[in-house]
Amino acid sequence: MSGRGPIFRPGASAKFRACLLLGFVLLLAVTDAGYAFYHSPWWSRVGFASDQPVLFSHRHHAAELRIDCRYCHSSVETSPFAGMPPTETCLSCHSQIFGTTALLRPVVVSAETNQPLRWNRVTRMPDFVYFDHQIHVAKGIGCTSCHGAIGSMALTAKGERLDMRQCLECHRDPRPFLRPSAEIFLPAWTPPADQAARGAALAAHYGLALRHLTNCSTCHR
Amino acid sequence: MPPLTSLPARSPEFAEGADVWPPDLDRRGFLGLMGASLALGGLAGCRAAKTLVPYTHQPDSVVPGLPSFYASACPCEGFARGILVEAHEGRPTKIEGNPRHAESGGAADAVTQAAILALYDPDRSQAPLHQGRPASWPEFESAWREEDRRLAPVGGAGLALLTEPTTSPTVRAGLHRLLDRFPRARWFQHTALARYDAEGFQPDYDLAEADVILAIEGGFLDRHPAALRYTRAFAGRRRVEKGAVRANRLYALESAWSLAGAMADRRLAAPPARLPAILNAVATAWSREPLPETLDREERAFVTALTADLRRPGRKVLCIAGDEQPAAIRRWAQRLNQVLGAVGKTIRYRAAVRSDGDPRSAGDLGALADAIARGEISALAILGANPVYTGPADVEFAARLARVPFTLHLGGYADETAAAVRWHLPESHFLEAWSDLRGYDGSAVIQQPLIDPLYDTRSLGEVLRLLAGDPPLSGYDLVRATWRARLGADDFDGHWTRWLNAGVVDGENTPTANPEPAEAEEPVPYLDPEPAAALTLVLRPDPWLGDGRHANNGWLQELPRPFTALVWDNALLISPQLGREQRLENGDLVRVECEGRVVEAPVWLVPGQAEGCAVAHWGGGRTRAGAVGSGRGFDAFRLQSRSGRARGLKLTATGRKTRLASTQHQFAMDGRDPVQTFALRDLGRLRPEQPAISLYPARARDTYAWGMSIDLSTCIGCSACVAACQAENNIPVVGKEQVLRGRVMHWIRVDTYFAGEPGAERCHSQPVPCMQCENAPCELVCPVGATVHSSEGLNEMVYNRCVGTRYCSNNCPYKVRRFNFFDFRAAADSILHLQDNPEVTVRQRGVMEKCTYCVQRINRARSEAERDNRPIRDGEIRTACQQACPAEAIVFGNVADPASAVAQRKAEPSSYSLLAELNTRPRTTYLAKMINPA
Amino acid sequence: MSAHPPSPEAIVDPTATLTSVTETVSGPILHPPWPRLWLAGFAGAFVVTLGLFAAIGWLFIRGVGIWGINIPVAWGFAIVNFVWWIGIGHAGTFISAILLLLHQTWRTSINRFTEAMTLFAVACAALYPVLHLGRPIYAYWLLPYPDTMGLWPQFRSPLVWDVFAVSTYATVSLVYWYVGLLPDLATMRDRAASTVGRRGYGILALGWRGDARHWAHHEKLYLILAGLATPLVVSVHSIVGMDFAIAILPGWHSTIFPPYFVGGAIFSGFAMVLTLVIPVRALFRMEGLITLRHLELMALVVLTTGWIVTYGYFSEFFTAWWSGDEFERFVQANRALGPYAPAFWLMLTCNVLIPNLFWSRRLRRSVPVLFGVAILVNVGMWLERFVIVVTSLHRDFVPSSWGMYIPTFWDWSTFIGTIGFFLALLFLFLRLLPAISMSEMRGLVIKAKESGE
Repeated sequence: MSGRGPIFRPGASAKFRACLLLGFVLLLAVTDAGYAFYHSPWWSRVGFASDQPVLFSHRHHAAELRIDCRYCHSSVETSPFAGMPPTETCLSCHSQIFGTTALLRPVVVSAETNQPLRWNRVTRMPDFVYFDHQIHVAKGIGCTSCHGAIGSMALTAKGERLDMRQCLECHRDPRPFLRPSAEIFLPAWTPPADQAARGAALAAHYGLALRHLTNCSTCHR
Repeated sequence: MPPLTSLPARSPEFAEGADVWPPDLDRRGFLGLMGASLALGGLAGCRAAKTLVPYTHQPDSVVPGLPSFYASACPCEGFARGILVEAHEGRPTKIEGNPRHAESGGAADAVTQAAILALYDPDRSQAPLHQGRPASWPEFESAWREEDRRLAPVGGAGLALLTEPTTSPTVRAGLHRLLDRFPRARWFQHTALARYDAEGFQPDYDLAEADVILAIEGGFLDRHPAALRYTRAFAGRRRVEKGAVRANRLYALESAWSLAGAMADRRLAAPPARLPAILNAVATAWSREPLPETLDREERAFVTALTADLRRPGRKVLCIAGDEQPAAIRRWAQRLNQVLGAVGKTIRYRAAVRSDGDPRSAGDLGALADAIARGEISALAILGANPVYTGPADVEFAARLARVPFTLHLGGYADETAAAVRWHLPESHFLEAWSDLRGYDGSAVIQQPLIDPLYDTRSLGEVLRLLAGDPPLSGYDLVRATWRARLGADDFDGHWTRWLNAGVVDGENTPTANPEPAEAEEPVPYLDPEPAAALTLVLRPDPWLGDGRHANNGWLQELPRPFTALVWDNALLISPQLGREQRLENGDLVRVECEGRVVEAPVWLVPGQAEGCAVAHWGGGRTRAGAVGSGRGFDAFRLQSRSGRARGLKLTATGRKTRLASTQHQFAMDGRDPVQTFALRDLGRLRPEQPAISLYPARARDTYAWGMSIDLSTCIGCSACVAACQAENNIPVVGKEQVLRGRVMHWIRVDTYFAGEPGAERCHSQPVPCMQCENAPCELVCPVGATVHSSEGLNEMVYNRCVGTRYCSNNCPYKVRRFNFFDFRAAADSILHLQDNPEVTVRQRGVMEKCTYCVQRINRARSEAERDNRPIRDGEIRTACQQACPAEAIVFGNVADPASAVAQRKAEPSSYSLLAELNTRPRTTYLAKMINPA
Repeated sequence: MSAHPPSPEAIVDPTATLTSVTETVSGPILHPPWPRLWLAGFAGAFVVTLGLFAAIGWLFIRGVGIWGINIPVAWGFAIVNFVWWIGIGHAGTFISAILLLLHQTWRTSINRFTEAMTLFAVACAALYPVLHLGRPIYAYWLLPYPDTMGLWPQFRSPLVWDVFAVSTYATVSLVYWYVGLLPDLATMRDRAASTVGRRGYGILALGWRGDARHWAHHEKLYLILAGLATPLVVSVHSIVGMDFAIAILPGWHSTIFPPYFVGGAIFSGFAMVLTLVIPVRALFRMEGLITLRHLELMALVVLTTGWIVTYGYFSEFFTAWWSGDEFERFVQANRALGPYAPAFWLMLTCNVLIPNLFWSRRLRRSVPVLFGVAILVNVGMWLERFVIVVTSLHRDFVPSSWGMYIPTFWDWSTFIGTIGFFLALLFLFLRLLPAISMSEMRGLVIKAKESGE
């Protein structure tokens, strides 16, 4: 030690140790928080409704009026793309009812000016993901399995996380999610108590080939 | 294929539905394609569009998310090629062959398939030009009315039309209508490409029947309007099935390689100057006279072997003279066929389909030039041709053109001719316009548009009508009018719909006509020997660019040329011997002088080319082709003369060099025999390849095990598969600079190998896609699992997982993987994205990519099959390359099913896998090339 | 090498005393003016480092296409430099850990310095695996972490092993180096004149007071770390060797690679130590602490490992010939006669012939010769990696896909840039930290005195 006065006040090393500890804890906390956020709805946008040109309620149309999904999403059974209703579809009813209300003005304008409605996507897949609606509905996966309880949505929101893990979960073993053909388009569906048994039976009924479902090229190409 | 009732294009739904409709149709996209893109990051756009935009009124013909196919026709030197065009939400994306059209048979060549890119070419002419300045159609119409007022009284004296020969009944009717209106007007026809039927009839070969074929300068597998049909028939006689084949024998006599030469069982490379002597020798040998002394050893051997074969009883023989051959030699071949009794058996003559010999036609470009020189022409309408570029040098058409007061040009591009005329009118692409065409076999096809004209363009038929001063009629009505007149009104619409569905007009074939009668005993004409020339210049159309009309097509510019693998530039092809004599190497610039005409060109050495000649391809040296095609290579038309003769060629080295981009640098097999061949006589002795033993258990197989077999006996190396793959899989064009750096992106390549002694070279083509190894070396080394094995044996490449270590490519023994070294995508707002296949990811910078066996087609088929609870049928899935192949050399399917076509082929004794010793167990295997020597 | 010094002379200058040691080492750091050469050197290195950043910036803007790589040669300078730097990074741990365990006291005066060199070399090396990626922002996919994709790295790939090997090596080396520094940091703290210096060194010294307990712990920890570091010396470059050996590529697929790479690494590492130590001892007047004998001993290590490398070359050729595999044979022939032959022959000259000069005692004791040979060995070892990476790739199995690799301006600037970066770090180290372990040297001096009396 040189004769000069002390560099640090007493207890410096205690403080120093405290800082080390604190830093370590902080690091853990930040990592944890990041992880939590990454796996939270704020990241996956589940339950967030985006605004739309027309205040369309799936709850009203699908659940209360019991209009079949396929009435508007007409290509869901034939095409990878479920289809969005052309304006004329809306008008098939609304030329008769509520046609004059402010709520429906955009629809009427669209028809008059031949300018399409612009809906904001609720479910956005990365464009390297190729989802095929027709095979899913053909093989017993219902709308609500991926789109959530659409029948209870006044404003349409993203219903499921739809991250790769969720896709894989079902592609590894779809049985817990399989429904009979009649129930595919129900606006609300909860698996029955005996789903385990039913799922297995349905898998056989649909003749599901499982092995290729977890191939990367099933969704990415 | 439903008839096209409504054209969704231009309507706002389509615009939005397509997701990318550029606000301005600029050229940045193309620069991007050419690898010059400076786009930062390259990480853009990995999420779907924010908005969903439905139709307001959905056309019944469109199911969103599903492609629709429409039958139409693609013009090839004026002749029809039946095509099916794939469209997504009204956006044409791919051209395929129409199985119901004889001239296609479901196949499509590279040039036809590349036409889809031309549709979206930002450099297309988009509006009329008046002396180079933008103008409008009404302006032109008033200008023409003035001209019309001048011409009408004198019956159109001084008016000249210049068109390319056409097979379109509607266009021809329009021309005749115009000539009726102006009886003293004159109609000239010009095409640089060979004329098949100037004599009023055209030969048609039956290659399924011919046992012995003599091909003089090729002329039936490549650059022929019926090439696809001929290839299919020819391949039928080369394919080994169940260990048996009814093999024909092909003798090729040619100066430079043709696809036929590469398939020949015996080939003699001789310069054009030697042709008459050799052919005369054939004739004398046929009449059992001793061969003249002038022949050297190889020539002698060739002639003896050939005549021996021709004589053998019970053989159906056929002699084919290449398209560019002088009339004398074509006549010689014709007579030989008669003497050998081939007519009616292996060769038929039918009345001319194309308008070359039209009685109302007043001659060719030369005749027009003379007329102008005589000051007889006061108004000239050039419709569809580009004579300023494609005219022979000694016609000096540009200079003549300047002497005509009123000139107009109709064309798809503002090309060299457009720059030399007063009025340039933009012509619609054939996918935008109604018309009709005839195939080489005379079969008629309605050319049905897929989309409204993208720009303010019109079709030839419409313009002819405009010039004739008739009230305007839409192309649709014009074509219907033509056919209603032919068919009569009864149930016309029924027929019409059926024709559009099938893509062929039923019951429309030109009857076979006999050529002028010739007494059988009249001998084969004696050909005057050519003066022995040290060097002869051989001028040929470019394999892809033809006479340069496709020069602005990036796909074709970057498609490796057969025998040289050259891209982006043409070169003067010479033999290695000549190269040695003159101390010339690849890329050396030489001064090419021929009868006083001079150009400067780089040379390229081609083994197996005749020593006494140099080959130059047209299509280079364009000055106004567009951003892609201008200034590529040199202009061989500057060496072209009216007579077509090009002797006394002189080459002098300039001492300078230029860098020629070739996708292959090693053309010798180096003792590794990637291409295996066998002589027909050894067919019985072939033993099937035994899989190498392995310590590891074999992979478990799923219901389907995808595999491919490529038959080298039938592959003619036409590169149709490469073009098909490029169109199907959104493969970018990278540009010359990147090719020079070894970064071409094709997923399937056609390797070329020269084998054999100098003087007796053979050439082998080998298409190489991903081998989809069962023990794939690439999979082991990827640190993130971006390339993995599927349960069905696909070696999958997951672009969105790839981080770009490139180790997979290093470890790939076949080097079939391709890497996005730069962002090769078109700019986000480029119109070129309209061609993208929505079923395939557009790869971004820094990811590896490769052949996937067209997995998008597999998935589509499986999805439909599983929906209907049935297995996928054999042949239900056809990869893009397989679909395009005219020789049916590629077969794809489920190897787990022993009954499948691919399993059958793999069971052939001639089946082998590339680099089998590595035990990678490729799913893509080859059938060894069968050769049938005398 | 033997524990007995080959020459009678001492490993410490006899005249050295405790104070003289401390003074020589800490003096130049604490008492300005700083040597002009240092300033010039640092300035130069720093400018080159800026060049490196520019090159990296352009790389991120345009993509790896700015390099000469292509198909077939998809790996170029990036991997060559990576292996080269990692190799250089080997000497440090080898000297400080293994020689410590072998009681090679002569290591004392150079271990600190070489450890620093190791760290900086590894830092340079670690840049490349990330830079050479097509999509560097996804480099973290090589780490196992719970993602929403439910995916993990592909553990069969040697590139994943690399991540662990290199990061572990870097961490342990760093800790080892820092622990060794503690007593000296305390000394610096106590000798520093400025408050900043005193506080700075004080914090870094972690309150080292040098009492018996501290020393006891320190000794133990130091030995344990040495034990930990030792296997890493072998593991790291073995795994780097496997990056190639795992591939089926002729010229890469060879079982000799791991040992042959480790040998080569130590070879190049010691060459680099010589290259750096020789100017430094002159610059800071440390001839008394880093004596000729140190240099001579290192020369002997170079000679030995040189022969290991030579054996590696020989066995590569022999197995290629013996296997009878046409591809293996071709690759070897192509190396010697192909378009890259000059690189190959220069490599042989530098790595096989030149080191044999050290058989002569006179030559291995002549500083200029030592320096020249060291430089040449560095060049040779870089060429070795170039030959392995490029000549194997550019002509592999199918002739149609053969190609050439021509490095571009950006290849070179990135390479030279890392050299600048390395030197810049080294200069800072010399400037701010004791380049020789004072505590251990004092120990030696005392021992020397005792044995002297």
